[in-house]
Amino acid sequence: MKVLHAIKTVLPLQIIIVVMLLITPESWAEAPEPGSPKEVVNRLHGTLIKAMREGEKLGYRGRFELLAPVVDQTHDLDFIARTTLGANWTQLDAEQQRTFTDVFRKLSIGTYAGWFKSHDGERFEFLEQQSMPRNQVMVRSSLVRLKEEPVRFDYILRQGKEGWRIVNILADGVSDLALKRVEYRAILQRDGFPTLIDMLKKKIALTEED
Amino acid sequence: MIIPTKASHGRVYGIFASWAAACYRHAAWILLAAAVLAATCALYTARNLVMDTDTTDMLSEHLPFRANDERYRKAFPQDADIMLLVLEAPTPEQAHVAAKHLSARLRNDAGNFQEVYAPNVDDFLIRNGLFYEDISELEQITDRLAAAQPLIAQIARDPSLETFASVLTRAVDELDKGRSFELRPVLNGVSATLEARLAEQPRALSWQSLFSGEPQKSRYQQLIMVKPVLDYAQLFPAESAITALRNTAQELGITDNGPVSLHVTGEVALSHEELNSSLSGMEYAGALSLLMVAAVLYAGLRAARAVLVILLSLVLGLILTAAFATVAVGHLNVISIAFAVLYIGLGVDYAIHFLMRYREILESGLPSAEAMHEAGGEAGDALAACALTTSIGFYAFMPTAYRGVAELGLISGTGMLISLFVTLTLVPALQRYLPTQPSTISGVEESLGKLLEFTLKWRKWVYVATLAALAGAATMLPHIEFDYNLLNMQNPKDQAVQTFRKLLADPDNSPWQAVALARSRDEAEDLARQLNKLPEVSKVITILDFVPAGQEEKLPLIEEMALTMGPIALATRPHAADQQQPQRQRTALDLLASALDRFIADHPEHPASASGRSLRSSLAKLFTQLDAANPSERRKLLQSMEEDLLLTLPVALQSLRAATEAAPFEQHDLPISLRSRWHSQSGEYRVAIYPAEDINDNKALRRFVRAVQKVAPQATGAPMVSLEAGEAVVEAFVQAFTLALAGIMVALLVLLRSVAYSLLVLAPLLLAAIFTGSLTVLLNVPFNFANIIALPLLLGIGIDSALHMVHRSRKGGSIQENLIHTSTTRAIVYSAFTTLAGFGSLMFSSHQGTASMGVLLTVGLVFTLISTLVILPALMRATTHDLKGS
Repeated sequence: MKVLHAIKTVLPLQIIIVVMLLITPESWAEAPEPGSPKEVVNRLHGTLIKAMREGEKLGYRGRFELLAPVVDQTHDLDFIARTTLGANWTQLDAEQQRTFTDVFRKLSIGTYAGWFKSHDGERFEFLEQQSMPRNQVMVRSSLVRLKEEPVRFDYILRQGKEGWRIVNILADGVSDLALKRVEYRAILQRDGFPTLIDMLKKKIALTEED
Repeated sequence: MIIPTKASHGRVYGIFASWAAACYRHAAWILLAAAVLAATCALYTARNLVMDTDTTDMLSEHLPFRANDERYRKAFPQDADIMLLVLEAPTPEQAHVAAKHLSARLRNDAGNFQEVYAPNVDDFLIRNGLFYEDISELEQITDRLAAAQPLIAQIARDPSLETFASVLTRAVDELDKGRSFELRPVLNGVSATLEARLAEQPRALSWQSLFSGEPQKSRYQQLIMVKPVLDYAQLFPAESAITALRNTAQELGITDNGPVSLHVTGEVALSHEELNSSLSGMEYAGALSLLMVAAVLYAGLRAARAVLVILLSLVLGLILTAAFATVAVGHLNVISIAFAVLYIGLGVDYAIHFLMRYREILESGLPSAEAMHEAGGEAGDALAACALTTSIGFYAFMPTAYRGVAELGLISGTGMLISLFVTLTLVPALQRYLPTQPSTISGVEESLGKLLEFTLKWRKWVYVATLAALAGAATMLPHIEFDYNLLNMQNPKDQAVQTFRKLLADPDNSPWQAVALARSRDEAEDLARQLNKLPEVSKVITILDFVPAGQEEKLPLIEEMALTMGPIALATRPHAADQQQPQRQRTALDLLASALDRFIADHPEHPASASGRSLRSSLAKLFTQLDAANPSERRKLLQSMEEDLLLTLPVALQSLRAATEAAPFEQHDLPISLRSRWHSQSGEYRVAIYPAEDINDNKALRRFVRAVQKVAPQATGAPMVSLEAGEAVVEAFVQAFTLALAGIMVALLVLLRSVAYSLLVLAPLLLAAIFTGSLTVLLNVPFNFANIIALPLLLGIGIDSALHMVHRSRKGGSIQENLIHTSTTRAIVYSAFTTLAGFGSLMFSSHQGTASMGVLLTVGLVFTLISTLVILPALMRATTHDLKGS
């Protein structure tokens, strides 16, 4: 059932892009406990808003530099990278795993830097925090836009050695991990590892455009 | 008509003659005594005789298979006396929900159901179901789910026809742009759902099937095992539980007209329906056969009074025999209740013989009192010989291991003696008040006599035909079979029977499993391993199979799946009737149709284009119907369509979410309802052995049982019990009949004091037995647990008829054509016809066991008549010629 294969890139990503272009800073009301799931999400959102506000001034590179440490601190990128490949991960050698994780990280940060580049009154709104099975937590939020329907962003976090980290993002319910898994594994299984890396690099290049 | 008058009058003759004459003289007292006796006995019997319906109890407890079965029932009592509920639905989700709701409701009805077990809707197994999959399967499941996630997530946010159509439209557009992904299952699923609705046979779309990537099957099944509270004080012990079940199902909307149907089967339901089908119309059938018996009697005696006399003596004899059964045994079982069949079949005969002889004597002009004296002497002599021989035959059943048959022997043997007593006492007494006129020979009787004369004249041809038939029969005899399958005895149209057969045909679900008990885990494992190697076995299950291996490796995969899917929450959509809704739905569907058109035009050779075309044509049909409909019909059709497409989504999502919450577990974590079914409180492990073939077939059953027994000699379960019980019954009958023949031979030698005559009496019986046996092969009516009880009756009638003939011929001093014209011949014919009239109608019973008994009786009686009236006179003629010649 790869129906959604279609929709996956088409719909969610486009919505996300459009949506994210417009964000206001002061959406989080009270300051949450440092290191808590809510605070982690809050920190990401704050940085994203900052990147948007100063988007033009900073340029793509500047936004990338601004977001990189925050994305590293708020996301468990190694885990996400590994999970997108499923069982294929263990079939890669150590060098390939390193390469993949590195490219994946750049793509993730680059995607944020590519999307959040200008501001038109948008703001993030915290909705609720939910406990999930297996000691995970979901922080639900909404990106409120001036002229359009709000978009739901739900973050799933789990506690690792370095505290709470985001491990999956659902944009209007559509799972980022699901989209990536289907796409990456299909390419890996059909065309092999180098093609996958080439494709990811092309995607990174795309985030720099316009 | 020549009447032998120079019969030798022995001491026996004298006693019976005086007795009959005395009864005739003191008729008033005799009748009074009979009335008092009948009333007392009837009252006593009604108060004290009980019916024991437990069929397994009828076989000796010392038989090994019964001991094995007993051990199993003790260890796992929940498996005994159960009903199997089979729920069928067009989608797995609907079957699941129905099973869940129904089992929950039944569980609350403790008055009717002791235990309810729905193995596949147990929360524990739903939650941990993924652990039972292989690692590679888990990977594939995650891939499929990940691919489906965006579609599901979007539809879940707004579960509506519009959203579904627009998501699908975008997917088709993507396909058109050259992206490659699998869209066929969804296109096919949606198309099939639309077609079903348009054909007015609506059938929901299964999201679970879409998730699993399997094409949707036509039916999905869920089993519930229910142990009903049985009330043995009622004629139908399961009646109350079955009614409660039907009502509950009705309340839950599980009806024959709805999408989900309920079929009830299993041990309890099968015997309920069996009882139902054997009792239904019994009053009607009983009255009819009584009427037919009376008609045959009237045809034979042509006097209403005589018919009344015979029926009165029949009733008294039956009451007395039942009273004897009450005193001697205390209960009746399904076999021994056949004493009534035997009594009606044989008891009437004695009265017929007596009355016909009496009337024959009256014809010679003797006054009634003297005629009664002579009739009492002559008929009494012959009847006593018959009764004695037959009862010795029946008493010979008593030493068998089959208690049912042993008790039948005791009751029926005594019944024959009672019948003799009643015939010689009540019939003479009744003659005083209901006197019979001398008989005249009817045209039919004359033709019969001519026919028999003819066969006697051409007896050489009778020998030739008999020998040829014997040779033919000899080739059939090795193929005589006993059908162990109790299902084959039931009405094949019964729902419980049909459902059970369907289950049997599926080796994975066969409700007939063999069961072995193991004392330890190791023994259970070991047994399972050995049994699994057998080609006759499809699979072996123990509790160890419920604790999957490799949980540590599977857990991260399941966690990955859970994380990848995310928590998909289904939005509840406001179903406010919106005037514009049908228009929006139609627009969304139109867009989907144009997307499909573009795709098909651009990629006619695409693998998905066939599926695209079929959905496009379903949509076209839908549009035609929508255009023809009025606004309210249009709204209704679109709304039903939406329901069909989205009905199962919530359940599918719920199960999916539950499954991703799996947590590792050990044997002791299994729910008690499951654990106690596989590991008894006393510590035994149940090893369930499933047959590889459909063991509804007797040969497959035997292969399976024998193969399993080689590995696990103490294995039990329905296949073992039915085979072993069948063999025990056959053995009991073989033993009973061997003893009966020996006993009869001895009795004949004593009574007749001639080897030749004794053999002459036995000859027709043996011939009839051989011919009947071979005809069971030709007619494909194998022996079974029901029709086997017709055999004692055939034995009795065969012996009696032949003995009457031989007796009469010896009294007559010579074997002449005139034997054929005596009352004895007519009495034999009418006796056989009354039995046929009484039991032949069983042939038309919907209960196959009963029907086969009717067939067997009819065939057996016809052969008995031929052997006694055609072959026996020919043989006697030959014998006397030889005797005279030598």
